[in-house]
Amino acid sequence: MLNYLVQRLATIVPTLFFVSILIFGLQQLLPGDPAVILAGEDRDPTVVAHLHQKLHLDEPLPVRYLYWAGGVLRGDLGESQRIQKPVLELIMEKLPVTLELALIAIVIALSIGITAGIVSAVYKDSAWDYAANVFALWGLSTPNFWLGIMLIPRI
Amino acid sequence: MRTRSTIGTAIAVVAALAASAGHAQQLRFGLAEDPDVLDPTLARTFVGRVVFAALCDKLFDIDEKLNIVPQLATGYEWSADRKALTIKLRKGVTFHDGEKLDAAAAKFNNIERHKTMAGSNRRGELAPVTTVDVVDESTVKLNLSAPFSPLLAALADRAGMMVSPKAAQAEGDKFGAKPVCSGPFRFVERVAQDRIVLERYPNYWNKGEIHLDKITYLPIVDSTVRLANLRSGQLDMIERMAASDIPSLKTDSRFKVAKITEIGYYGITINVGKSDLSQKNPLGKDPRVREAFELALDRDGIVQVAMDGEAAVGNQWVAPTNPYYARNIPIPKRDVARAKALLAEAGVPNPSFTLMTPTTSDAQKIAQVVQAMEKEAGFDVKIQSTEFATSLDMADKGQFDAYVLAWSGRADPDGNLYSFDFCKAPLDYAGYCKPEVDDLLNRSRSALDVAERKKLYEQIAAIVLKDRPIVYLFHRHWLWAHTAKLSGLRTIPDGLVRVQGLKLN
Repeated sequence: MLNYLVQRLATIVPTLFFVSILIFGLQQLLPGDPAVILAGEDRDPTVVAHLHQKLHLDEPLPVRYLYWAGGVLRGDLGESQRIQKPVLELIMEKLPVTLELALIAIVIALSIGITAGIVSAVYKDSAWDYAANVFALWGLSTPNFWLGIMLIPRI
Repeated sequence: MRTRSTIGTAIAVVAALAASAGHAQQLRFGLAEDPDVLDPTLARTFVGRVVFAALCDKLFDIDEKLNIVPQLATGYEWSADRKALTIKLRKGVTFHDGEKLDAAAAKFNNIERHKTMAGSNRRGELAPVTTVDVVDESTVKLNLSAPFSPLLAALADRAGMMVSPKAAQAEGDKFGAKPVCSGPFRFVERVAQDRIVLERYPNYWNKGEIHLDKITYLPIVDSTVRLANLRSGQLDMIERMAASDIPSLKTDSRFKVAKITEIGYYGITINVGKSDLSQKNPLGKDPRVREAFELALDRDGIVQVAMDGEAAVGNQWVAPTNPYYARNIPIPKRDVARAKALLAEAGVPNPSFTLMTPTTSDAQKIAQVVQAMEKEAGFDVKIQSTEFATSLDMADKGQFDAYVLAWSGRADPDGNLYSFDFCKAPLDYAGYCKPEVDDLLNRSRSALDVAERKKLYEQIAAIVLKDRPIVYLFHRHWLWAHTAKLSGLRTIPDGLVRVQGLKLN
């Protein structure tokens, strides 16, 4: 069991590496010079040059990747270019709401799911079992973005 | 008896509280974008300036007619050689942290911050300022390397905004997260992409003009959603409403629409010398072809179709209502016959070129209307829609024949002209380069007298509008919609909402 866990954890490392390269690479496909856009409508050459230096835009791609990956490993996700606030802070601002939603959703799902599963197992092939199965299938196949909208109460 | 009086007092207290809560005036203002960093030195977007109008006072301001009027300054004087500007500061002004705004603070803002901070977007606007002297506690003297008349207009914008030196020194380039200025409202909180909240600054120098207690700015990108929020009462005012929504709102007495012609413009930049491409295309090579191009345009038609009629036609870098509009070159009438004759004379009856346009819907509509109009004169216009950042990159490298581009405008005409037409200036995408124009542009910067500058602009117009590095089309209208309860809205051509005088009834 321990071996299995270690193995699984070990495969995460190359996967994350691959995904990070993919994400970083995709950003490079965006056209145009980010510094020119960031410099605003005036596109003052001294500001553009400053941004190139600050964002390491003049360095080769692998070096820029290392800057970024190094920052991420140390918990520094960088700074929002738009409002100059650390990205981590911006995520933390919104994280509590996400966690609350996720936790409540898990509690609801588990309480309904476990109950329905027990009922299905105890009364196998009965009407209760079929009802639970149909309900589960309906839950699986209903798009949740639609269900979500339908569940908003009318005020 | 005593019980009853206690109850009576309690009711009175509750009633008083309810009444004061009812009187607390909160303005909810829907913005078209989320502003960038709220630091006057680093800021770069238009929408950020909308928030600064409530947060940070400037040395000067501009009025409805684009006159420079005092704000934190009470007066100014140019030296005889026009190389020094002495500014008298208003007395008794404090920053939101209680610090005093004096000459030393103004010097700090002008030199140490706006001019020398790494990444400052104000450096170009203040380029001719070399040093600042503190004359006395409320007087500063700005020394210039050369006379520079657009300086006052720059000081009526972000370059003239004063921030608290104490807060700025403590926060450095993080100042924008919690800005401390001296405007009528102080910063409370900001949630990215959701809201910016400001509250009234009780010690504002001009507090008699401030009737609102709180302003919440809510960025809502989609103009339809912005309008829906206004209609449902979630917002009190929105900026940059869609022109097509005006008729439906005009019939609703709960709302009002306000508008004014902008200080910027929409135009078509022509590659006349940016790269070799300019000499390979008749449009870039031959001024007669460019004249034919302009004569084939029906500007009124473009405004009707592309802008729903909500723009003022124009043929110059400033609108015809601007005091600096060159009266010697009026808007040419459409003349397809003359355009055809010019093309025949140039030996290219059917010139073909590519019109590059950013993917915004306004620019695309303009390109399509222009294409149809030019066809009647014999032009074959191919439209090339290009993502904005790429289009800028291509324009900068000269990889284009013609390019649809808008400029948000500056209060001083120099800001709409110099960077575009001075040889090799940063925004000279056309590649326009003419020593006599450069000379006139420099002279217009050193002339301080309005009449003198007007004459110089007429001379510039006579040359530049014939060479046509940019064919100007129109000047958009700034459009606001607000609840009928809001009064005191001033329409200033820079499109920023002055909060002084605003009242919710």
